[in-house]
Amino acid sequence: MSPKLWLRAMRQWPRWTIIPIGLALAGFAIVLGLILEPAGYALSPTLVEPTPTLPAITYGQGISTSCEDCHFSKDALQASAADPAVASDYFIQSESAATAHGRLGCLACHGGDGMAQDKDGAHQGLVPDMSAQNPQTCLICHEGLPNEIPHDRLRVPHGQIVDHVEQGEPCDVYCSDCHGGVGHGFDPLSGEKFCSMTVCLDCHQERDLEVQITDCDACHIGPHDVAVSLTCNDCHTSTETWEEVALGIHPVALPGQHGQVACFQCHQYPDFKGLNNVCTDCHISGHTDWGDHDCSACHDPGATWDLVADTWDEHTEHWDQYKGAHLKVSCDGCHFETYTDLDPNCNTCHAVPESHEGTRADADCTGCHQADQPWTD
Amino acid sequence: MAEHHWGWLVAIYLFLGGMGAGSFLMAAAVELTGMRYRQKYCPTALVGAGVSGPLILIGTVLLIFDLGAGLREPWRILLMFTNLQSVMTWGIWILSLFLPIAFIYGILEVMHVYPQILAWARKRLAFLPETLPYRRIKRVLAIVGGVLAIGTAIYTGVLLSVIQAVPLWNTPVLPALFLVSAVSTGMGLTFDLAATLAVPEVHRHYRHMPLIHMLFIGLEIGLLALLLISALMQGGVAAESAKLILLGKSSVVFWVLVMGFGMFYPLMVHVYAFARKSHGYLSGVLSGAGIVIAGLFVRYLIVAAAIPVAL
Repeated sequence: MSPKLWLRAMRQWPRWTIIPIGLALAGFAIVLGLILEPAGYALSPTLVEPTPTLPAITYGQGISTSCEDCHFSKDALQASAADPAVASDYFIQSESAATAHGRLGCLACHGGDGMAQDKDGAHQGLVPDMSAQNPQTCLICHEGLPNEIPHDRLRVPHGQIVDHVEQGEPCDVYCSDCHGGVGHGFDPLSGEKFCSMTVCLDCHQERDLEVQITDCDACHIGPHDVAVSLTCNDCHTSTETWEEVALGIHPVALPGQHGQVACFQCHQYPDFKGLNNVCTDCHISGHTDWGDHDCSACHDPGATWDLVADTWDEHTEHWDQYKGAHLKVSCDGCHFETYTDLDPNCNTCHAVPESHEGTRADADCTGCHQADQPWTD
Repeated sequence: MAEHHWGWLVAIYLFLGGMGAGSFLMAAAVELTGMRYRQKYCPTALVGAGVSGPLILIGTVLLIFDLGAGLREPWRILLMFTNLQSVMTWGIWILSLFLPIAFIYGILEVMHVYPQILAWARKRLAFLPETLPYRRIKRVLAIVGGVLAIGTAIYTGVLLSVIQAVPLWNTPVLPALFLVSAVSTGMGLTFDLAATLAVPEVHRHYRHMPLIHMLFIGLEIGLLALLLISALMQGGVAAESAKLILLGKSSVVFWVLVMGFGMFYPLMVHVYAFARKSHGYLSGVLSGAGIVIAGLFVRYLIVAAAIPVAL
């Protein structure tokens, strides 16, 4: 019978038959689903497996509520601590739950039972410091740890630690020794809490490690190709910041404002190369058509550019009238166009008076007048 | 990657529970709006009232087979009525109240369509009245049963969403999605499939159905997209679950059966029906089939793709 005829016949059936038809349709949908599901799976792409964005670690987000209820609240800690005097040591800022490690949840690193209602139950199987007890767990996420931090020009002991962990050997240094409570708000990579050198120094001294604290090169990758005779301490006066530098051993005197300029405003970073120790290395001359590189012939390095050496022997060699009132005139007063090819004749600047018109108009003024004497003499 | 906890049995239970609740809601809606009485015969009301009880009962029976100790020692099931802090206990109470109401409503609807059943029963039980105020009784049961039906549909979503160890489930979107899906599958079964088979011109009597279908399908698409997008943005395990559905081994089932055949095709059919004020017989039946299939696989994919937090 054709489908159309079946449908026509079905419409002649008693009305109650639509109920079992409805049930049959629901069952048919389920059977169809059971058949189509493996077919769909077989046709689905097998290569496009979702790449795990995170390694297979224990995610405790959402099931660490008991931990947060206690450790985010000082009152709760006081109430449950065996020794209330040290209860505040276990207080954790709630904002730490939003950090990269905090979002994993307390259980991810510390284990325990994050849903238990009592302290003993919550602390069952607790791991206080995962980096000490299970350091390999840190390495699940933190692969390829660098041995140098180029931005800070720093050598770090990651390689030695990773080697020990991978070989299953005991390691005296744990991740948390330098990186602190990474899950609780201390993030050395963000720069918010700078891991100062004192952290390294204190630990090195406590453990009497082989690397000498005075051996700056052991940890710091210096940018300078300094002379063999110099050490880091010769210039750098602080172990907290490299910017505190002493200038006592600067090979060139740094008079005036020169001593207040940062090193790399004059020198090229990082090896101090590029300077010829002349003024024009840094300063642009206002009179490029005249003069040589020795600006100090006229200008006092310890003062401003405006002050020019009062005595400049060469000036009188060029012009014997550089004396008297002429000494009070600024350089630009005569050299307003050029410092070279300036006509030394008096009428370059001075007008010939009417009384001299005639036979004395072309005469040499210095025959009668000298710059260090009044015109009337 | 950890295996999912629950399999086909739970997915079918969720599907039957949702569709049974949605079917009842369809029957209650046509009853309370009076649309049931505009024609001599309303197949939607008959199917909706008749299938809702059996569907939920079958789903509940399947659920019992999924139990572990409860199957071997059935008396332990009674303990599930006492833990009022558990969503499962809420569900058991809701089902315990809804099932008898659904069956009674179904029987009353059949008796209303076939008055000779009451006459036959009076011959054996003389105390039975000659007639019953079907409309009044059904109206009360429709209201009470309707509330319980909504509770049943929502509870199936809440059951999964309270599980914090499965990030894909742990979202308030899930109960809303399951409720919308339940109503949509109920409409698909009672109206598009069964009623259209029985009375091909049934859509002419319910001119607003295409618009209502469009609304619910659109809502379902939106909520499903919200669920998956929020899972992807959450990252970690939730994102891996979502990627399983969208790109992994469940992708063909999702894109072809759920989104293609189950949502976009019915949406197009009902947009056409809304615009042209009619749609073909075959397209109506197929769109109903698609909606029902989508409802089944939405639940199955959500159950199957869930990846729990490893402990």
